[in-house]
Amino acid sequence: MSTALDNQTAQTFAESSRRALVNPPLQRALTIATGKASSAREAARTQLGATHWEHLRDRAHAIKAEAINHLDYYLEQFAANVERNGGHVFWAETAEQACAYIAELAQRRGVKEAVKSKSMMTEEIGLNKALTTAGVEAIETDLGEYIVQLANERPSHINMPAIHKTRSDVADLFANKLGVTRTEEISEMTALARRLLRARFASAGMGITGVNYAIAETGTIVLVENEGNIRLTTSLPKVHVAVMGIEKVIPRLEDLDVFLKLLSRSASGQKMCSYVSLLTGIDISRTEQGPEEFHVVIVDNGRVKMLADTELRESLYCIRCGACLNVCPEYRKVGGHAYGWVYPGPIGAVLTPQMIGLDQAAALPFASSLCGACADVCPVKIKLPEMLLHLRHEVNKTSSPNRSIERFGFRVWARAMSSSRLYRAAATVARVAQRFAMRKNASGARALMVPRWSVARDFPPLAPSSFRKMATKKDKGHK
Amino acid sequence: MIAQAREQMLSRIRVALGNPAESPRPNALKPFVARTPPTNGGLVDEFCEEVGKAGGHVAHVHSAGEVKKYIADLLPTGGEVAFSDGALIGELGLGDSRPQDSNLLDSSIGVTGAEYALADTGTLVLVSGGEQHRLISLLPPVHVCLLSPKNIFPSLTQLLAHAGGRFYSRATPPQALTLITGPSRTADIEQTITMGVHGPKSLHVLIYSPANV
Repeated sequence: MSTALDNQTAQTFAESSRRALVNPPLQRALTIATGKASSAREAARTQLGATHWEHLRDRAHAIKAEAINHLDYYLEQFAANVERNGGHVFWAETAEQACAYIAELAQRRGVKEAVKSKSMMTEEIGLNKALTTAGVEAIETDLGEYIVQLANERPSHINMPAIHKTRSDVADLFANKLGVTRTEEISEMTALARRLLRARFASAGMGITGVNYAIAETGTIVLVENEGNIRLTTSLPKVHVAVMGIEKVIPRLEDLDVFLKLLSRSASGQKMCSYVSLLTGIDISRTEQGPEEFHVVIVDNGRVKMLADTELRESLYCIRCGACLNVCPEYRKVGGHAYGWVYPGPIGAVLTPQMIGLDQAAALPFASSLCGACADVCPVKIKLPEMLLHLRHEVNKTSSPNRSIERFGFRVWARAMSSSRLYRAAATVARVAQRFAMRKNASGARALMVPRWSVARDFPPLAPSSFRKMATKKDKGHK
Repeated sequence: MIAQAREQMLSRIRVALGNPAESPRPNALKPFVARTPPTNGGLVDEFCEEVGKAGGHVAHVHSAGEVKKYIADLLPTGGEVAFSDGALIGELGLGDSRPQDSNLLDSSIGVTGAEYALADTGTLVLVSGGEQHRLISLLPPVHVCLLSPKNIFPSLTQLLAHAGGRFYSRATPPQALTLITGPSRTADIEQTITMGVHGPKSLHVLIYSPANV
């Protein structure tokens, strides 16, 4: 599967997460941000009431199920309506095709600068790199994304891209890269970004955005934000290009409210994000402010394969709210960069192996304690723990040599558990054998030493005498 | 070529869904109203309360004079005001004849109307086509928005049920329907909420009902 991204891979989870754990500023930043985001979400949910919240989640799940199970129908309807309203649609099977279309369009229109709003889709296809190669400067305009771009990094959260940076990090970055007097005052740093980016909005020839929802019955794209940079990106430049995965389509206008209510609350605890733009085609009479050209790029990049897998199909329901990241005990400790690719956290651990290949991301399905917090908060009720288990199973089916001992062990165990005679014999042997593999655990109790497995877990030894034996003895005593 | 790429993608999707023939028209879901539980007061009260919670200001005005005074009080010395071509602005005789875009970047205040509003989230709904709202409500650091109380709907679902069909069955549907809830904000640095990152720092909603005649 194609990824136009740098050499970072998702194979190094163990190593990069260990690095993250001994990085105190990162730990502080993660604790603050995920804590604030989770409590804001929780407060918004409580305010709404559990019953109403569940109604919204069930409805959203049902709408997504309808859309995804009839994806061909709704995509075709959406595309036809975009074209009817004067927009252009490009169908891209791969990341490369999507990037090439946008880069060529920019070149044909003589675009030198393109302003961008935050879009995980364009991260996924590696659009910025493709534009740079084509001689087009891509300028990120979301404040967090602007910070990450200045630092030449990748976003570490789906909707809080600079979550890994403290105010002091940002102050250093602005002072070094922008040549301004260093200040840690957040309002001053924000004002600086506003001033510098205003000029870029005015001069850019192209605005590039993602898509939150694509409404089939009207051909409308919906964009949700708090900053206003998406509104600028979609109203000042002459050409607007929106890039969307095939799964973004929802059937009807009336379906939108449910998703806005869930997304705003789940992402930031707001009842409604500051700005929601419903953009529909082009006004050919040119009586309106806004772009003269509108292009929608519909991207597959591995999604059709996800659609075919009924165990994992529902991962296409994701609305990218980031709530599962904020509550995940693993994400909260290791941060987004440890996951090694575009999508971090529980949803990333499910999406990444499907998008870049299981062999490239085999560690990710195991980067979870399966506590289930992600499924509890997911606004569209994706069964993330079940999917992680399914992917673990897939990983273990492949013949990786360092899993062969584990596989052998479980085969022996399964055999022993299926016959009481074998079980008793095995237990007797194990009682003798375990004497050689004993150690004291942290609390001073005796535990078995199993290589790697028991580094962070206890393996309690078998009791000196089995329950069956004790029961038989007692039984005899009564007679 | 585009038609071919479309057919290829759609047929791969049909195969993935285990349904290689063309899908039948899906059954619509049962109607559903995404209305959060209403508060006890009327729609106007609920709307005003929610605007406040989202960080906006609300005032009730009854004449063009009151609107002008409200704007004048907000205006810094030497500041400029940009007016949109909205219906309510014309009705109150507020707009001026200057071209709209030329002075927009230097304006201190942008004044628009809102065609509709939503009570449950304190949201203003600005519709292009009837009014050039996109830049005037976005570029100046202060956005003042005029609203008629009769245009407040309980929720987006109810507004779209009322007006969605009318908007989107037109030959040219509104290019931009913008929902505005509070001022522009970011929390990208240490999750600290900061107003006015790219759009207005402050939002003032003026609910206009003519003085009793």
